[in-house]
Amino acid sequence: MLWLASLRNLIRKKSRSFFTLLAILIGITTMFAVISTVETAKYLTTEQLKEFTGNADYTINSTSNTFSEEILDEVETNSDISSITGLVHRQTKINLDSAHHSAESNLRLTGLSSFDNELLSLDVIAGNLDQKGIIISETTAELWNLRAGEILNIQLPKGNKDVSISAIVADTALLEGPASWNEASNKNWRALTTLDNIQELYHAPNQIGEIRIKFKENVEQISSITAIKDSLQNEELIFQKVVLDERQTNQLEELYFMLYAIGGLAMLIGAFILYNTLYVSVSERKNEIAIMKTVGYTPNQVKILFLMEVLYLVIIGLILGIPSGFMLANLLQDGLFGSFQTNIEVKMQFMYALPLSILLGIIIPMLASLIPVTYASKVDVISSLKSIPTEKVSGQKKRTIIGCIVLLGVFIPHAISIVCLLVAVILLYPIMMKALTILFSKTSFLGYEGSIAGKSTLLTLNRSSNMSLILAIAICLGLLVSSIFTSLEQNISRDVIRSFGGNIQFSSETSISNEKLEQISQMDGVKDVMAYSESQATWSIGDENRQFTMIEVKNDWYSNNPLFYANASEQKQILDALEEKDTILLGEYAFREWGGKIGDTMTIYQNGKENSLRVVGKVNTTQYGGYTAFISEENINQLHPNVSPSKGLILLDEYTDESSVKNELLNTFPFDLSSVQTLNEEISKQERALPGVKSLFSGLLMIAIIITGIGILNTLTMNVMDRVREIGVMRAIAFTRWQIYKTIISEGLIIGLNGILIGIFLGITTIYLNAKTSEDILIEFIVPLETILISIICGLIVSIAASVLPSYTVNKITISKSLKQD
Amino acid sequence: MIQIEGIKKTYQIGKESYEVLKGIDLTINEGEFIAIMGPSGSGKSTLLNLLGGLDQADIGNIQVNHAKLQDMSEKERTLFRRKNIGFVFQNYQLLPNMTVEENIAFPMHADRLPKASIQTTVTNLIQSTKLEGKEKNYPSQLSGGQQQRVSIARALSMEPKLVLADEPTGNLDRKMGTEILRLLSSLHQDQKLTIIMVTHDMYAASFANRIILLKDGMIESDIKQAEGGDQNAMASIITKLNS
Repeated sequence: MLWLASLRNLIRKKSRSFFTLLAILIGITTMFAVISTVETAKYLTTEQLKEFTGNADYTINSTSNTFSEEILDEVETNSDISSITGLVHRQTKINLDSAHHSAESNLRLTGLSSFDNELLSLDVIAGNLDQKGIIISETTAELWNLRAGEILNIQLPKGNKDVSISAIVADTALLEGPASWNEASNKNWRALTTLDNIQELYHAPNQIGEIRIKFKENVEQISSITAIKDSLQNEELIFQKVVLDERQTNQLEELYFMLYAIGGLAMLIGAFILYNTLYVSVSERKNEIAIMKTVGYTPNQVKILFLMEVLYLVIIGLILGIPSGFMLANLLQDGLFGSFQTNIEVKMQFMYALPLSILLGIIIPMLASLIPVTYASKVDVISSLKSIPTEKVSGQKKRTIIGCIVLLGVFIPHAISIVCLLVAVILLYPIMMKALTILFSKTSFLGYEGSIAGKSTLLTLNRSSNMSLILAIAICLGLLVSSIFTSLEQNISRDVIRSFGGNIQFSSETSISNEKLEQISQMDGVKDVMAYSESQATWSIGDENRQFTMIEVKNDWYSNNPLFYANASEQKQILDALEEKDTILLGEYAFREWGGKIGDTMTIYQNGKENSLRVVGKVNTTQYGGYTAFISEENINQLHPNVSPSKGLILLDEYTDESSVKNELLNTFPFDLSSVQTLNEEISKQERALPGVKSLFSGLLMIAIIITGIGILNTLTMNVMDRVREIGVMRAIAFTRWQIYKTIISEGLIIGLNGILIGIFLGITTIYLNAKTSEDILIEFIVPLETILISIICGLIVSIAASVLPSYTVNKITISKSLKQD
Repeated sequence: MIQIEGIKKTYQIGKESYEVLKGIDLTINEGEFIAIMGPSGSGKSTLLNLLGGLDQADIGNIQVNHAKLQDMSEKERTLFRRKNIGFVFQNYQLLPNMTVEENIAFPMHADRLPKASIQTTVTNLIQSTKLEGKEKNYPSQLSGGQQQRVSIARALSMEPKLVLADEPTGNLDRKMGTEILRLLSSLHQDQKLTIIMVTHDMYAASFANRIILLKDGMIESDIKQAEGGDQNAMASIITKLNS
């Protein structure tokens, strides 16, 4: 019977139930979409890593970049190994009419000793992996307009050669090339072929660049690799454990956080709306509850009655919210991964998103309903039946005092000050809203109807302030995101310049010899050139391994053109400290993950050896995502004697055209250089990603503001439905329908204006505190005037739009009926 | 002042239709104090609502001060009501969130009258309804009698010529009821107001100079009584009410 009573109660208040359901539905939809997006992003990164490293447990490289294939044959004999492959990368150029200039025709060929093992997973779309030729991805085939079996002409050291397209495979990280011809000027095309083929094409018999090993299950990998190392007795070889940690390759933590924040906000708004609705519903039905109790209903049965209503809404919300969540997630993921220009097939992940959304979609509304449901179960029979008003116990004074104390936290010179500000505003919101509402009424800018609306708002202050607060938080979040993006947009070129290390960066498949450097330095417009090495090192946090790229630092170059930046005053000091023995400098992200303090010792594992290095500082770099470390030439030599440099930096004379030097480089070393990136290309690349991400956030925030609109609508509907008789009296004695419309719209505007004004204040203060406490010098105190204007317009539109339906509903009731309402 | 011709009103409740007024013809002159009486469901309040333009007749004409209510739009009716008719309700119908003076001033503010003029009128009405000292009180802080006086003051704020009172003493005890009736009576006499009062109470009706008895949506009798009450007429009404 209870379930039927609950259902009838919901049906009785159709529009109220509908809007509450809508809010829950949007909350679930948004939450599922953001959780799934983060899950997909993490999955994609890990998958890319796996595909890139081919599921390997260990890699073997050489300090001189290449080594003999005999080593592969020798390692292969180890019985602990389940799969092994040798590979080598080489550069070439394609001769295709579609490539308009040299920079668009760079192809990185990877030769593999075996295609048939568990280290490689290729999904063949056309052709055959066993045929001689090259294997390309689907996207590349489409852009080249070539089919399996067709011929591609490539440039080789000994002249041009036709090679056949042996197979076309589904897009994969290992073959991730440009997604468009525009991208081709700063991203290499990629193709796979057999190791033998590369060795033959490049006249490099027996040469390989890397060995990837997968051990059998239940094998003690460390002892096996040590055994291999001991048997090879080759000092040039570097044995590296493969660490699959999606965090080491991307820095999307902030992005994830913001996505979660918006998803959480959406769900929270839904919960608030539910809380409000239920509270009013209980207040309205006190008499009914009292009668139920009189005839024998227990407090628990009353609770169940209301919880059933919540459950109905939640179930319908989930049934409709999850499918719409899938649709929103699709949109979000297309937009997000589109912004980062990945041409990997995105498969939506929801293994955690689905159960988590269902769980939170049930728990959060249930928690939100706890207070009103408990209130319902405690309804006093006598006072309810006699309509004796119960005395309100006001906790406002205590709340204000705590709010004021928490507010002092904004003076803490730490990011916690932002949390203090938020908590203080939440606590002080009713009092702030009260003050502003009185001010609106006094200034009578909304007219006489506005002053009546002000009075009504003050009477429902708790209910109205909840919705207004949520609008304020949504606006604050919008301003903060907008300010961060504006700050990044304005500073991105400065940011790239200060850690680009010169005008051109290049990397080579083979070692950069002094002859090559000399050749580059002779090019027109080249002021200086420098080569440096990079290697991988591992460190452990508990049971987990982390891996970072160690970049060799040459002080004379870094003093003017560093690949990192710190505070101007610290830069020289850091470089000096880095010259000391056994020191290392960590990138901000690695430093944070490591968790130590500057001056502490960090243990890293390289080539099976344990090394203790003193951390001399933390720095930022835009050139390396994920974990990064910098180490002096001398110290890197201690870890790895004679590591050949494979990276280079070029400094140009003033007014020299970067692209002409880039073309000259590519033409001079067509078979060596795997990438050449100019400073301006890097700036454009970073700038391109911002608008897409910014639009995504704006879209999500718009969803949050729309749900707030539903919340205001819900609150106003309840406010006016509480006052049907009062409004009827107004119409009976003096007010026209329009004046009633104006009164209710003013009420919506007061809730909205409070949210807008407090939201803007909160937003600007948050931006200020964020800029003040952020260690990232890119984050400046920028007041996003455009977003403030948009927030004001959106807030006002949403508030007015949300007021139309309640005012229409109450105006529809005839005066004589209104006057008879209880 | 008021001309009612053949008005009929039917209400629909669910699938059932109820004809509440079955053809009323009535003329009310300026300055009359009329009591409309009748058993429950006889159509008293419906008639009052139609006179005040709160509701519309299905058939028939109502003219108040030569203005035809049925020809007016809803907005015109509201504006007409605001300027020409004062309402007094059984349960006072004060706006709970407004103080006494704000309640009284409400129609004047709605009409955008100058603040100074509003203030003067409010002060005068507070004096005439003996509400001095209660200006800042909210309705919940007043007794029933005081609330009804506020309601009367509000009804008079736009200086109407017609006051419609629906059971003005219905929620009051005899002492307070008498106070209110005396106030209405004095307003009728001093300001020559036309008052139409719906009541169940013979004692209240005795303050009127004309009593209209409704029964089953029709006028059963329409009796004018002399100043101070016509005992014969009253006796006749009591008989009819009881029959």
